[in-house]
Amino acid sequence: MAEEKGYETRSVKRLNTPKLTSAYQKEWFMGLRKRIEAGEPFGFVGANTPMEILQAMDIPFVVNQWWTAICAAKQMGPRFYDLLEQAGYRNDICSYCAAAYACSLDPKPEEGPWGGLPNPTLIICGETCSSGIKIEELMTEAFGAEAFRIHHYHQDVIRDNWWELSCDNWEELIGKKRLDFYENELRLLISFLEQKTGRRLDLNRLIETLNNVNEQETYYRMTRDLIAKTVPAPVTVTDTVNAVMQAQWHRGTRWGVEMAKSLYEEVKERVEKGIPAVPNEKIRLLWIGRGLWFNLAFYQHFEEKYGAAFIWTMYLGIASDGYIRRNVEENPIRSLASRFCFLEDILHVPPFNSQWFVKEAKHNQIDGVVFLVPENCMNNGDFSYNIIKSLEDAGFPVCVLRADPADSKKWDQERMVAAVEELIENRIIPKKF
Amino acid sequence: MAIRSCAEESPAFSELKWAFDNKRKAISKLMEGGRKAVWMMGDDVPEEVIMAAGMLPVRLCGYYGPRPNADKYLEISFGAYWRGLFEAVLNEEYAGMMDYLVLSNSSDILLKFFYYLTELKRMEPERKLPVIEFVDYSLFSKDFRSQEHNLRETREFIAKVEGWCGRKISDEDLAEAIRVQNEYKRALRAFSALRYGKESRVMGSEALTAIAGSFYLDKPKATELIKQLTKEAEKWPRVENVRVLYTGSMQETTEVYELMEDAGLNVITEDKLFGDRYADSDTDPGMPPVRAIASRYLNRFPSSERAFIKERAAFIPERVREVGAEGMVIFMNHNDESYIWDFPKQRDVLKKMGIQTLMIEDQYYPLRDREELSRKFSSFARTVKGGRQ
Repeated sequence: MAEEKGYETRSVKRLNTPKLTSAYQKEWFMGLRKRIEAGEPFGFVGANTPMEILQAMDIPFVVNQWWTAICAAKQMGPRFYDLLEQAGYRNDICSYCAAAYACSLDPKPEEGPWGGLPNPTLIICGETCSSGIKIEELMTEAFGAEAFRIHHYHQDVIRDNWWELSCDNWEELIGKKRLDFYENELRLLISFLEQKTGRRLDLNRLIETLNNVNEQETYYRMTRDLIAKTVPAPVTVTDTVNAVMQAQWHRGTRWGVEMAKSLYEEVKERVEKGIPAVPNEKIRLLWIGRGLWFNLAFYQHFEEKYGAAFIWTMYLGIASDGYIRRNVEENPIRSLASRFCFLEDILHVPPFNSQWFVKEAKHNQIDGVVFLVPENCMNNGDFSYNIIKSLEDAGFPVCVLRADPADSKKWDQERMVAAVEELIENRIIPKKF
Repeated sequence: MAIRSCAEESPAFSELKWAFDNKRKAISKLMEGGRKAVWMMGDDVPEEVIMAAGMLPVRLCGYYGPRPNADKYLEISFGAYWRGLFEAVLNEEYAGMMDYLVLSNSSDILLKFFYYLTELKRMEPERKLPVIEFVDYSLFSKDFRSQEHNLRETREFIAKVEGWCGRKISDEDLAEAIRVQNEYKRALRAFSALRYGKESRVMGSEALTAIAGSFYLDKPKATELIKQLTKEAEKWPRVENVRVLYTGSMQETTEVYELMEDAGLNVITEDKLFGDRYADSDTDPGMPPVRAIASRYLNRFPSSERAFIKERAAFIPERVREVGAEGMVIFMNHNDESYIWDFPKQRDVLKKMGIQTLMIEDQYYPLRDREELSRKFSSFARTVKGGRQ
């Protein structure tokens, strides 16, 4: 890839867990094809949907935005976005959500990642973006699937420091009205799935799944905390993003728990043995925004020259703080509703996002922040002004990169490197040294 | 094309145009009696409830001038129309005139604005932003869940407004507001009928001026003026320009319509609130008022922001037939291009009907290249005219 692009796009791997999760993911995907061929249902879901229900019903599924990440990592984005353009759409908008639909337009779908995306029979999406809903509508038609849309209801209760409430006092955090709304939506979703698949959701299995999720996410929290307090950091984001994202796909399973535990133990071992990820670590960076899947090497680009290590992304961060919900048994559906309806708010709604980023920057002993703002997402809007101001007021300089996180063709390596170097040289080094 | 002399000579049009051109003064006049103003951002704020409370519903129009606040607080993903609306809340234009601001779930952007403004109010209390409320109608699906939810949401909004006005809003109050509002909408529809078909008498810019101007007048007066204007416009000369349906980013000023008119096009209908969508349907007076209001906002022209591709692909051709349009123009501001997901299917259906379409993308405020736009409009007008023969 280095030859084609003129720069390295693949990161150097330090841990074994990401290798295990990648191998399993590929194997699972191959097995998926066989299951579908044998007549099993196959769900295609948005990242903002309660996948735990499908997990507990043993309905295999692929997550839309994560599929995009796989396409990006395989450097296949440009091929798919060009297909969109040929069909009368555009190759430069909604790339994070449209890759799978583009796959349906591919005359050679088997050439897609891992033999291509099988045709989903069920599509589930949340009504948080009108473009997303339309893309889902196009996919439903293209794949001949059945769709369920989870209606959306806004967060009308604003609480400071949400992470202090989310594990145990989630009813107070979300508010009764919104929780009632989403609890009802989940019950409708369950009825839909039971009716369409002929399977039933077993209450005991659901509780077990949710407890597994809590266990898995607790390992992530412990991992995050280890990285946060250890200087130099034992690992960087390139070690954690794949391991977390792939295991999150299977959250609620014992395998998911085992992989989270394995990641934690590997990180712990490095801490105990004093093995740093970047031996000359001088600067710790936090990355806000979607992962740069087509160019994970970018995160390592600044290590040698500056001793600058990216140690935080939302993937491990949100796994640590966003998922854990205790008191599951009392009302598992309601606890799940409280988790999934709030996940988007953590990232996109002020002040939940800004307060959390500041808290995480402090907790992880961060020196500077790189904020990727997607320039082609029709639904982008996190009140970035507020995020940047909150971080900078708290002493964390921020550099904004405007780019398409899914389409490698539009990435301007030179400009992006220069922007981060500017942050390091002019705003972090003079302040810190 | 400038407003024609037939319109300029109309006393009714002049009054409407005055309100359109002088929104601030018109709103100040309405507030003279001391009525509290409830400003509405988005298509689906149930105005009837505000009227029933004896409060003043005010339609927020974007600010067309420098937009430093929008530039400061908004990401690049917010297109020109949205930036204008945001600016209008924060700059001096309407300072001190907003008692309440209600946003509706008519677009994803409006929910973002609700969050942004709520947070801004917390961060910068010195700004003295109004009380901010959000009406979260479920508008995409028309299914039972949406119907039930919207009824609940209407009831909750009524309770909220009762808190603001300090009294109970009765069914009689709501029924009277519905009656007044329906009469106004019927008058607007009768006027708009003069835009349609081969006998079209009204230019798009004249219609936009009259319809949007009427937003800033007392409802009974607006109704009277629109009725009077309709009588006068019946005698206006026929418009020969190519008749088009407009969709895409909302036009709150006549600039783009006028460019189109100069190029030989005429917007005879639009699926936008500043236009025909405002008066698309009555609120059913035969139904208990709360239910009638909830139903009305669920069953209107399907907007691109809150309707499925399939619905829009059925609605647009039907509307084209209904009004006798010869073409469709989809005009999108930069970063307001989600309409693209609707477009190919609409284009295909229209093509089968022999209707041409023109797609304009990547537009800004102020317009960056008027000449290029004019060229595209002229070329489209010529193509459609060629098809006439």
